[in-house]
Amino acid sequence: MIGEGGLPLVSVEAVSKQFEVRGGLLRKAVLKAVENVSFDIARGETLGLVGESGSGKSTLGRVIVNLLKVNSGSVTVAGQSVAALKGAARRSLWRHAQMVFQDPFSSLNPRMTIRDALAEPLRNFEIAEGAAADAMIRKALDDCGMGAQAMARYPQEFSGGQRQRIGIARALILRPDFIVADEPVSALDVSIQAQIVNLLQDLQVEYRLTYLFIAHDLAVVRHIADRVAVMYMGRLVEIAGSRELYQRPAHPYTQLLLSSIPIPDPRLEAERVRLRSSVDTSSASPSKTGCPFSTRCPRAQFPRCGEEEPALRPISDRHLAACHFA
Amino acid sequence: MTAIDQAVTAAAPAGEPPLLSIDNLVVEFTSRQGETFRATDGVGFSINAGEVVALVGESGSGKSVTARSILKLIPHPGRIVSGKITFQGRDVMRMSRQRVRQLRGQQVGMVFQDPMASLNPVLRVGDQIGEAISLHSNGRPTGIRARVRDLLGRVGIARPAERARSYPHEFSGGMRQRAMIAMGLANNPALLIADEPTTALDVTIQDQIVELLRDLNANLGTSILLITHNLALVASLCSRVLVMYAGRIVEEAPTASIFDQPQHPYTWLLLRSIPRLDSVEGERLMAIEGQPPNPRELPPGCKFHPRCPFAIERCAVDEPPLAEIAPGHKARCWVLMKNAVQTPAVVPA
Repeated sequence: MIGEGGLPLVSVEAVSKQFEVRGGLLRKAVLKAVENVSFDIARGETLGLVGESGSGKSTLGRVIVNLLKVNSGSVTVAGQSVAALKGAARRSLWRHAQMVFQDPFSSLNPRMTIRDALAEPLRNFEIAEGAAADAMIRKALDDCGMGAQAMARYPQEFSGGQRQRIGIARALILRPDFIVADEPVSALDVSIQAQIVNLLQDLQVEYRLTYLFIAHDLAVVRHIADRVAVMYMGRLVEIAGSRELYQRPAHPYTQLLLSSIPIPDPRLEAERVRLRSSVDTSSASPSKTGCPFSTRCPRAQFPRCGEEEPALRPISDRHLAACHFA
Repeated sequence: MTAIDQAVTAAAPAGEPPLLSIDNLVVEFTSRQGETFRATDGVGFSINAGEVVALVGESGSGKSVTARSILKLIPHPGRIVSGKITFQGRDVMRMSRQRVRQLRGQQVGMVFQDPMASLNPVLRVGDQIGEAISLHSNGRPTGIRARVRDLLGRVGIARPAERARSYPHEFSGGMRQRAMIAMGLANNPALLIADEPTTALDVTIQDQIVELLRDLNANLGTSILLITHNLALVASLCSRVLVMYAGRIVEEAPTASIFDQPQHPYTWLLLRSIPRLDSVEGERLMAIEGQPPNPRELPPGCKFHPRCPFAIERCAVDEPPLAEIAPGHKARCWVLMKNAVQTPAVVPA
């Protein structure tokens, strides 16, 4: 871990986020997307956030950069409480915290040239205009491996990998300390993913960036993250240093995830030990009481796991897991 | 002889004609501006009875177009310009539309990436599978219902009789994909074409679907053509791999050789660009430079040469043929042919 001690750059404390959804005729239901999640990220560190679809990892990422409001709990970035920010101060957070999305195309206006798209944040924050802005845009594009000739072109003229470079340049142009990258490579072709991962790593070194790297691909996360947090049904179920988590996963869900990943090597793949779940896991719905994973868990012991929700607790030094039997 | 033994031995029958063979397949698309480009150019391969073969490639490589050509399912404005497709000894290209429709769903089952797009949302899952059966047989309703239950149970859906009465939206993503596989298997096809069957699924569910496909091959002897961009899936499931790039097959080999001794620079680089759970910590990923090729603007010569670190002068001018460079191992690369000893694997990174 690269953290330098002292105060963390990002601090997430007891954050919950709910959405109202229609639960059938005239009924409203509450979807608990994020439930009581806490963690810190040190300056210069990369925290990987993994989980399956619907685990709440993307929602949490958006809450942290204040694209979504928290229902309870607090997020602090560089000493400033995110939720308390209003108006100009709320916008000023975005100078420090930026987001890179899975599909940069959806976050780039197709009618804006790349120059205009990158000039917009500079204008909004009254940083630079005209020639000064152009120089900054050129530098940001260059940092991301794109030539200045891209400036006069439109997003749809670029391939997926190039668009993601532009998306990263746009996040980078405000010189943020912290970037939330939400599945930044999962929509890209396999041969392009490594380019983007390497670029993110180079930029981190050059600009001392702090990352929250959200992904469902555990091999990519292992490659890029110093520490890894695992979410299941809106809860943080395990968090540990990357090596510790991959070598000694403590939560049965993390163990199941890791044992499910195919290895691109026929011999190792033949020896891969798969964890078996006692139920058809594709149809098991999460438990409403107790541990949400208990309905799929091969190690669940009833009635305890079905009734009492396990708290996130230390397993060893800097390794936390939310399981009664971890 | 167990079912598994049967499947393994059936994969390489001596002298028996292949289940499916494709020769020199060319598929062209014409854009609204009247511009014509080739999605596949000269694709050829075969699949033996009981074999599981992977067609690997990135988006735009022509892998899905190749798979859809087998059943003449090329979407408008694409068309098969030339080529020969032989299934069970019969010429598919010369079959009537009606005959091809019979083939589809009867001898050849198909499973696609997005089951929600292939299932009718207002029909019960069981009825849809039943329809797939009754289209190709004149069984009694009670017999068909029993067969639907059997199929759903076989693909690992718990309480199949009850679940047959559900609508697609009541199924999870993994269950929908299982239902699609059940439909693909409805009439005991000789060949199942699975186009990115796990791409939309979470990793734990993906693992279950892969195991299901493996069991189907082992127990029923169904041949499978797996179309995927995920090389890791290939390692666990397939006996032979075809790698596609820019509408061409650039490498073909048994799975073990593809992973141990990849020959084509594209395959070699691709395998080294993927982070793995067992790779060395902190090691920089080897990236393939440049962008995937645009089928509308393919370079002359070898289509991979602009991104290839091993390219020689000839690569920019002449297109190399797909040539056998070791028994059962083919690659489309001048560097390999010029001097077979100097493989990319010995060039320092």
